[in-house]
Amino acid sequence: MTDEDQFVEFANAHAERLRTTAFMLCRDWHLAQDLTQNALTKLFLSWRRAAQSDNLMAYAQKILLRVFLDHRRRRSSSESASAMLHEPAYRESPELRLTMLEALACLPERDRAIVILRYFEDYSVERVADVLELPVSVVKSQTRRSLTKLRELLAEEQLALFG
Amino acid sequence: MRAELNSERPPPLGDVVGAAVRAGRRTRRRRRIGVAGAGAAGVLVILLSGSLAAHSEPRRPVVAEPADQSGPLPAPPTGGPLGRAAAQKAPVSPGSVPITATPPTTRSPERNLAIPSGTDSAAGPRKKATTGAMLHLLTQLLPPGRTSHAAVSSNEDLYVQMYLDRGAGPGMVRMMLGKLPADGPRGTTPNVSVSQVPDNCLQSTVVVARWADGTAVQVDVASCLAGDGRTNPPGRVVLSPDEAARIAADPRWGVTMDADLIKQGEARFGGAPVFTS
Repeated sequence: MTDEDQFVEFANAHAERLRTTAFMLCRDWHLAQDLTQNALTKLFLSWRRAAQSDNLMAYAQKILLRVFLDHRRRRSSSESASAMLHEPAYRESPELRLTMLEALACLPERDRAIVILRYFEDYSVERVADVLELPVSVVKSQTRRSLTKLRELLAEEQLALFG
Repeated sequence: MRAELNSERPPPLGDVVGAAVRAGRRTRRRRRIGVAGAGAAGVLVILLSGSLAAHSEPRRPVVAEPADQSGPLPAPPTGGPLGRAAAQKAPVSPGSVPITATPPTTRSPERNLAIPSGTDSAAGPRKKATTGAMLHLLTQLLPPGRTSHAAVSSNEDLYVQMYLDRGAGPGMVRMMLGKLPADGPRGTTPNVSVSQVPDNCLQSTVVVARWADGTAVQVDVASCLAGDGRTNPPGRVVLSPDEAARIAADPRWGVTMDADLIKQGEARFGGAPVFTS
């Protein structure tokens, strides 16, 4: 089996999962598709090295996160994470429920990535730190802050819904 | 979160994998063409300069020179007085890196030296540098001691790691090769900067040798060992700034390196593991 065959086999098996992670990061399926394709292209180019890593999926996730963060950096004029979710559409349509995914979108990109890796991908703190190339202490503290923020956002929503 | 995802209706995935493979192939092709183009341009420059030299030789006036000026040519005026003085005294021999025995000490956290390499570059065919060749050459340039933990970066950068134990315990050295856009020949003298970074154990001392053609060689002397993502165990500082400068200034480093070196390096370190942090 050639390197390319191995890559195609891996990519076919994991593309959907990578796209789901990308969607959770950007909340746009089309952008998620683009990010996944870019990440897979980069993985293809570094396949020989990637194939030597202990955890190929973590390696691919790492590339995907970098692609996402680079994309966000390049699009400096794009949406920015806001501390509050008081968009007019939301206020005018109380039946629109604030979902966990929407609350996640309120977090800065890096914090969003930490929460997704930690609680959706079930990564350990150490593995998140490795993937995002952050100190473990930063991952821990940012996770705590992000969870507090998510709780606040979702609690506000519950009050609005049931108050 | 999973329940919410289940309620999403994602569009079909489509041929993401095929598109990635095609884009990857295109990028690879472009890179190869770029390397081949650069190589062809280099050969053309060498042929042209050789041709010019051959034609200009007979026209050169022959002037008797005083006997006391028969030493090697002075280094280009890129360095300070120290570098020029060192260059004038430097013996020219391939593979050697003449350097002042003790560069001046300074209280400044960074200092710059001009280190004459003694030779432009090794003759013979050259190939694109590999991490294996870097590790191989690094083992030749490190002072005597036991080397171990040879590893390479997880991406495709020319970035390698090596432990050295000179008898007092292991210490870590990492080095990186790169090339900045620059015109002109490589020259014979790199500018070497030495920086101390007290709060970064992976880069306790950072030595960068910059050549006129844009080639940059960075040697990081660590005061800790490779970490597990959480902490880095303490290590010995196994190279003095002068020793690191000597390694960084070796003329054999480059984004292209001697073909034999590449071959030997790949045979010896082609399967080196990946370092993480």
